[in-house]
Amino acid sequence: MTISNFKLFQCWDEKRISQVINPEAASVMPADFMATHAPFTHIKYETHPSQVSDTSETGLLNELNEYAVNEEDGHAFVVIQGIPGTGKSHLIWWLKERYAQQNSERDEVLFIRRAQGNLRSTLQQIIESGIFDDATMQDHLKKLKNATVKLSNAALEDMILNNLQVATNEVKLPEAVSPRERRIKGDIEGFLLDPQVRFELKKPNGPVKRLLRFLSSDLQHSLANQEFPRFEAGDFTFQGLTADKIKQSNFEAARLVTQLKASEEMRKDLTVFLNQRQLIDFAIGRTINLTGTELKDMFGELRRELYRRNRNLAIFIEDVAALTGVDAELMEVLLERHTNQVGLCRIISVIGITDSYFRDRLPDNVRRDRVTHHLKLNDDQSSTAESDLLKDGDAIIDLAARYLNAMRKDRTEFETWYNANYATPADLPNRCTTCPHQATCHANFGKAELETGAVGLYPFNRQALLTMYTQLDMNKSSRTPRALLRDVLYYVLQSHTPKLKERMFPPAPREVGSQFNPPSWPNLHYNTVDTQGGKDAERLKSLLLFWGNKDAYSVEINGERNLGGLSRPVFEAFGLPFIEGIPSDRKIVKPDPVLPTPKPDLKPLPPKPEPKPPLPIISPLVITPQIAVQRWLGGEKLRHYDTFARILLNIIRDYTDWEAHGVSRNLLDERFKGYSRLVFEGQDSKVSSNPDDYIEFKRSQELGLVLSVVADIADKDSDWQQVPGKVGAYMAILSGWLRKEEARIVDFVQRPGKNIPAPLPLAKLLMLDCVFQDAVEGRLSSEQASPEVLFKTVMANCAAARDNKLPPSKMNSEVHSAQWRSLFKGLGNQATSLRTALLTALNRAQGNSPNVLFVDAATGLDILRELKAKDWELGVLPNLKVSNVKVWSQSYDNYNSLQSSLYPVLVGERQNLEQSLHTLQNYLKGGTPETVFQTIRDMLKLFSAPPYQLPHNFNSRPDLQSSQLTELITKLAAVCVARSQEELLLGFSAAGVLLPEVQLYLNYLSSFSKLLQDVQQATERAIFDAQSQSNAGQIAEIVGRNYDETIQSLQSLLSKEAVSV
Amino acid sequence: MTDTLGIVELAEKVKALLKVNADLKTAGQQVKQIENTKIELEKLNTSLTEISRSYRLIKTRLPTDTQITFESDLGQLIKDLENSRQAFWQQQQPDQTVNLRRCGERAKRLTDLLRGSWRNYVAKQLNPLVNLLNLVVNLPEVAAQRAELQNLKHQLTSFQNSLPQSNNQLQKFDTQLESFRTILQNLEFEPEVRLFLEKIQTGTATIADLNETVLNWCKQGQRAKTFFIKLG
Repeated sequence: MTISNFKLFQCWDEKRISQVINPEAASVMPADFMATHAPFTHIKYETHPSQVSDTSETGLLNELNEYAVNEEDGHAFVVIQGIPGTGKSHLIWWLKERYAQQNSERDEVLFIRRAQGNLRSTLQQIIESGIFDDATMQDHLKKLKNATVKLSNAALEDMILNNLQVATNEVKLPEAVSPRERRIKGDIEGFLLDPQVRFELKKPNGPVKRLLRFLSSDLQHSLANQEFPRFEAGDFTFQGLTADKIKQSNFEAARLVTQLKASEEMRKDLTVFLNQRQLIDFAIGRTINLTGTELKDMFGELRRELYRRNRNLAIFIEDVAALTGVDAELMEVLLERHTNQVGLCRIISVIGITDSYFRDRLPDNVRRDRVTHHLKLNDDQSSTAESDLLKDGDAIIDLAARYLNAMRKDRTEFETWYNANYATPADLPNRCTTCPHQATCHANFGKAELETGAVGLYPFNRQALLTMYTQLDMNKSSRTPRALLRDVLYYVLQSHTPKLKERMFPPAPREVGSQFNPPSWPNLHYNTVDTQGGKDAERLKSLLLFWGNKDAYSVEINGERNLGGLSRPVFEAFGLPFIEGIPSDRKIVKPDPVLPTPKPDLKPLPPKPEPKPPLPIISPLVITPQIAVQRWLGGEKLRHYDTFARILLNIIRDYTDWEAHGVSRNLLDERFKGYSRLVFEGQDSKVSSNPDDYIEFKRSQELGLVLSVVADIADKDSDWQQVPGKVGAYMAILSGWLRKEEARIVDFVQRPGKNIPAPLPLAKLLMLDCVFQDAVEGRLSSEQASPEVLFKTVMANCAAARDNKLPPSKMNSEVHSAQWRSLFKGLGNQATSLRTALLTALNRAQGNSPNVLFVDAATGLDILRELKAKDWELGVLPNLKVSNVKVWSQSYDNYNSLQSSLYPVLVGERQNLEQSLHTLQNYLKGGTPETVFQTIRDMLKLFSAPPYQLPHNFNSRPDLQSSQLTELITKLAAVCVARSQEELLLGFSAAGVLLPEVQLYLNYLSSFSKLLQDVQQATERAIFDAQSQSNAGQIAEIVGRNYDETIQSLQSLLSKEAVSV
Repeated sequence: MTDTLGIVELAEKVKALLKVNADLKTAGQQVKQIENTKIELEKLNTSLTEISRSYRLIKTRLPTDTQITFESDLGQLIKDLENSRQAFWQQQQPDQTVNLRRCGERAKRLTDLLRGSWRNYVAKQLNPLVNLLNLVVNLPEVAAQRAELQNLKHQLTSFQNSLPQSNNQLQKFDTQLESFRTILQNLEFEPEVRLFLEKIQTGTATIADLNETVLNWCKQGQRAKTFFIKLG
């Protein structure tokens, strides 16, 4: 096949990527939606009033149409259930589009999209639908508008909490049965009133924020798909310091928090209590000033109005959870049959419901009796979040092709199609039909047969789409249509389109996607790719791993050489070299993987091993390795153990992709310290008495073949390297065995002992140890809060420690709490070896060279992000004996020390800092640092001047400045008010530098304060003495009185009456 | 570190204490002077009280010129005292010992004046009676009351030496004086005898005064032996 110009070709419009696939699912245009809609061919009916013959979406539409024309009993309440992302919205939207096309003359059609997934946007949609615009409905419209205004109120957080607290008091709930429930009921009001509890509940990702995301779109982040406006047990796992603060609060809150801290059951019960829909609905209704009853009345009035106008109502709701708070009453409106009450119009409703909503919020009687059609889009038996829609590989290809097609043409073309042709699928614009590369593209990248014709899968191919989808990390994503679109199509095209022209597409395996991982090599072929691919090796690996068969076999198909299952044009399309690969004369068959867990692809068979060479004629006294193998297979002891173990260990070490398994070099060295760690069943050498120390390989024909190859390799006289095909055969045998044993070998290396599970991945354990080591040693501060900066700091400290250049820590100073110093001492001994171990653990080889290394920042950052997400909380590790492997025992012991003492250390150090701050503030009371320092100067001057001239030993320190003291106090106060564990740790760590300076000022001020106190005491004594001796005033008064009396007495003598009788 | 005061507050307190202490030192020195003034004033007061009391008691028995002199001097003393008081209070001259001593001297002069006048007064009242007593003391008619008269004379004479300090004292003086006089007047003498005796008392009796009645009286009983004749 000759291909001329199909190179670095971009047939899609970059700006169309986000138009067609909107990750937030908020603003996709109807034309784009219809253009990308993949028909639901099989929908599972749980409930249906009659036999269903056509389970496709068209069958469902026809059913609705029949209801629409059935005036007698056209009531339908259709529930479409599925986990988020399974396509409920698409199906409902599509039904609405088609239903509206065919019934608009008869019905008012109201479509409520999930939009931002909150109540405000939902109410906004109802307003904007115009359904209440009629003059008779103006009051209702006003009420709705008022509700949306309420929902934009910034004080919603406190309003919702206040109303929830009111709800616990006013809403009549079932009588408490268990003692725990009674305790919760008794304490809940005080609990919800406590400021610290409210602060915790209002935290980002906390229950109040989740609730508000349902209510208002003013929040920064829209609600995650999995979230419901509900409380979770984890919301009440108050951490130590927070719990302590709450315990100092009102009695009810303190009591409940104590019980919550002690009992998981209590937390669950509180969750159940607060999640009662009467409580949440009451709180929401009161908050937005629109109760469910009022909404129900509005729709009741609407139905009567439509009845008067001889019209009916059809409501399509993408996700009823977006109406949480008023959903129960709205549901009653939808369930109300027009035949039950005169004057109501007929109503057909189709609502999307998630599994959890169906389970938790839909009343039993509704589920049982009133749902006319119950459809499911996912299998609820599955343990994983997986959509039924994409369990078939063809369905994945079909869906992806529709979106790829939509991205290849301008939106106007699709709008024309949508408006002019009622979005007839057969008339859908298809760029492939006019593409000059169609033949080459479709032949080499594959295509999907749609109603509009063949649509190419370029720049993907079938294998790439399936691999990326099946490799989705289920911890981060789920296997749903939304994940296929968002995490595969959108991510790959949006992130990497510009790289195509620059010959950088596809990027290295780990960079292709963020939510899916590259598959592992099932063989050693990546070495070949490294060797032959040169600078393009990493891109070639991506192509072979995702687009190809995950190997580098070079085989012929129809006279054309294929590499890894891919033809030359595929390589050329991306500007990649069509390397030689590993020659094979076999032809291959490439079946589609079967989802969800693809069967192992059929690989090109390795070359058949050469026929076993006849045993050489040797002296019976000389047992060569080859003979040893044969005898061993015959049941004898295995001789030449050293030879086998040494060579096989080298092969294991060199040909296992340790990096892919996250195994560091130091761990590898530690676990394979000497080849005695490899044990063959029946070997004649001594085996360690500790079974944790070695990995044993059982006696088998397969292992015998491997050892036979090893024996030949070990034989200096062997000509195995010269015999054509022998190298390939040997490689195939060894790689086949290695591939089979790889998981077990890797598991052995990754564990502290063969039978001891790894408490955590070693790199993670070391990283956590080193991060906390840095914190305890005072090497961190709040500036290192971001994982990126923290990572750089920790790694820099590790490198400095390794090179003996890390300055000693001063955190053992008396200025720190006893707890902190104790932890510091406990950790100190192993710090350097752990830091060195972490460096090695994160070192990765650059290409094949063992000498060129780079740090695996991605792993480190993942660990630190997780640590940050958990607010630096260290989980409890299982109790293990890991003393056999030094790096494990050190890191494990250190971790446990940290984990067990972290809380008391934080409490102790916080008290220590608070004490210092309190003392400082006490010295400054009644003044500022400036006035205090001025006072010191003034007083010293006063003391030295007449008349006082007081002798003292206080030394003035001009180097201590009030401005610096102000700064220190600000920093100290900031640490003391820290709430999260992260803030505390980083703050305390930074305080390592801060505290000695604080101490300097404390000593200075303390010394001066002491001087003042001494002077005060001495002066008070002197005054007391003087006062006790001196009563001048009194005496003077007496004297004065004496004067007066004497004078008066004398004056009276001068009067005429001055005669005694 | 005190829990209640910061450094600025503590410094303010210390500053205030230092000032109080300094003030107290100054005040300590004044106390001595005030105390001295007090002592001096008390001394003065004591003497003035005696003077006042006495003057009130005997004012009417003093000659007018003595009263005028006394009250004039007393007015000057009061003026001096008022000046001293003013200096003590208003001019803050706690040491008034000099001024008060000067007042004390004036008071002493007043006392002397009163004492002298009193002594004169007592003598004036007592002397004629004593002279009479001396004439008749050895007469047989007096023999029965001689001891009482001598005692009264002795007690009354002692009143000369100190100013009366109370009404009782003065009344006692008056009463005794009256008793003394009454006893002497009640002695039963013929009028020519009484006259003769009085002349004897005044040193004016002559032979010519020895009339019949007088001579008979002289010759009665043992009386003649009690008279001696003396020439000129």
